[in-house]
Amino acid sequence: MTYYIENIYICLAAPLLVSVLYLRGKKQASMIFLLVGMTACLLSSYISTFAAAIHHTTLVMASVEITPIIEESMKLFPILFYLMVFEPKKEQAADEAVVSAIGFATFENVCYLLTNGAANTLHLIIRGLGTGTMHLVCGMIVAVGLLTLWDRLYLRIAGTIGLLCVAMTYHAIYNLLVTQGGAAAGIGYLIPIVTAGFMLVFRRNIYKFLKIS
Amino acid sequence: MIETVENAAQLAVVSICGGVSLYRAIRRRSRLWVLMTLFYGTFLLGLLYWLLYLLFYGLTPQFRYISEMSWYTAYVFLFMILQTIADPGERSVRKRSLLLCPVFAAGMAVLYMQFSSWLSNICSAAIMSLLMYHAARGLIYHRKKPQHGAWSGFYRLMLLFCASEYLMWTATCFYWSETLENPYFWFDILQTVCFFLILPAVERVEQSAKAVAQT
Repeated sequence: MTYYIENIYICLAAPLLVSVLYLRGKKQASMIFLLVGMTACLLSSYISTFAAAIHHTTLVMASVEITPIIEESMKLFPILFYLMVFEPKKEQAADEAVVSAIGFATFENVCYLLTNGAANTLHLIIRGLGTGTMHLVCGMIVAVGLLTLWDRLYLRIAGTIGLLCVAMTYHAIYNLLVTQGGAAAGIGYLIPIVTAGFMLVFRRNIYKFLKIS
Repeated sequence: MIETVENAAQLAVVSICGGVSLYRAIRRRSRLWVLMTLFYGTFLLGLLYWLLYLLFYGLTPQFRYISEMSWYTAYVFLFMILQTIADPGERSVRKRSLLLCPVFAAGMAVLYMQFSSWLSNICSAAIMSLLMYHAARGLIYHRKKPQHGAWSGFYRLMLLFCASEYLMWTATCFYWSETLENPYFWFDILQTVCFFLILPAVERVEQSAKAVAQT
């Protein structure tokens, strides 16, 4: 059976798009970034498939070596555009980076359900939590960096590139473990959940700590 | 097999150094140790990806961008460490011989381009030029000041670190054997030693800077 992810995207995006017209302020911005995240996921899948075809590599190898670079870049570009053009408050930009990552993860999970079925509840809970949390953690890595490094020019350039690389490598390690199956996949699914749990527990301490001069 | 063992040893050293840096960053609330943690942390992530790929597939990644980007990012953080600990007087050093650093990096990049991608080599040449230039400039400034021995030691270590990296890259162009006879492994071990020595060297520079500030 052939799936048209564009049509699925339209179905998911339509109610969000309508809600954007009715909402105002921060809620409207968050809804737009949810939509942006889903759009970034759609475009990433096109670019990843294209890159895999150009390099004559399988989709599994592409998910380990090419996809993390494309997906993390696609997630970062809208946030950079938002920061440079609209010059929002740092906290607002960091929140939108996380919302964008959630939109990305949601659309990716929907695509996964369509291609792999929705029969195994336990596997889907683990997989959904793992992948969802991984995208959230990568979004938070960038968000925390933007929050703390956006003040100075040299830190802004080096920090943005650096954090993008950190997010890409983190994502690649996750994909590498998950594609192996068995115990390696279990460890892979656990890594983002443990990282997110750590960040949640120590969130205030991390923000306070990173605001050092 | 030898590459896996050697990479695992380097991973262990970098993990320990990263852990110690994180502990010091939390205890001292210092930007220098945050940068040290980022340096070791980003290098660790790239190395972990490389090692896992080697374990699962038995070969090095076809596209090396992910690990290479992490390692170059680690070197950017190392450059920021150099900027942080630099004495303001270092900027006054103007010597034409320092231009040998970018010239050397550019020449080596042209050589490596015969074997690997041009983009990666341009990035590495730019970063290594900056590291070597700042380390050599710092060494020239501090070497004649007896109370600045910690800085001289640190900058010598930085130059040794860059040399080990270049020797390793050059060895990979001409030797491919998976035995200890391959000089690549010797230079990689040398780099692992440098990773370990950077930690106490930065600690000494930090203490010397405090002592100099007090006098």
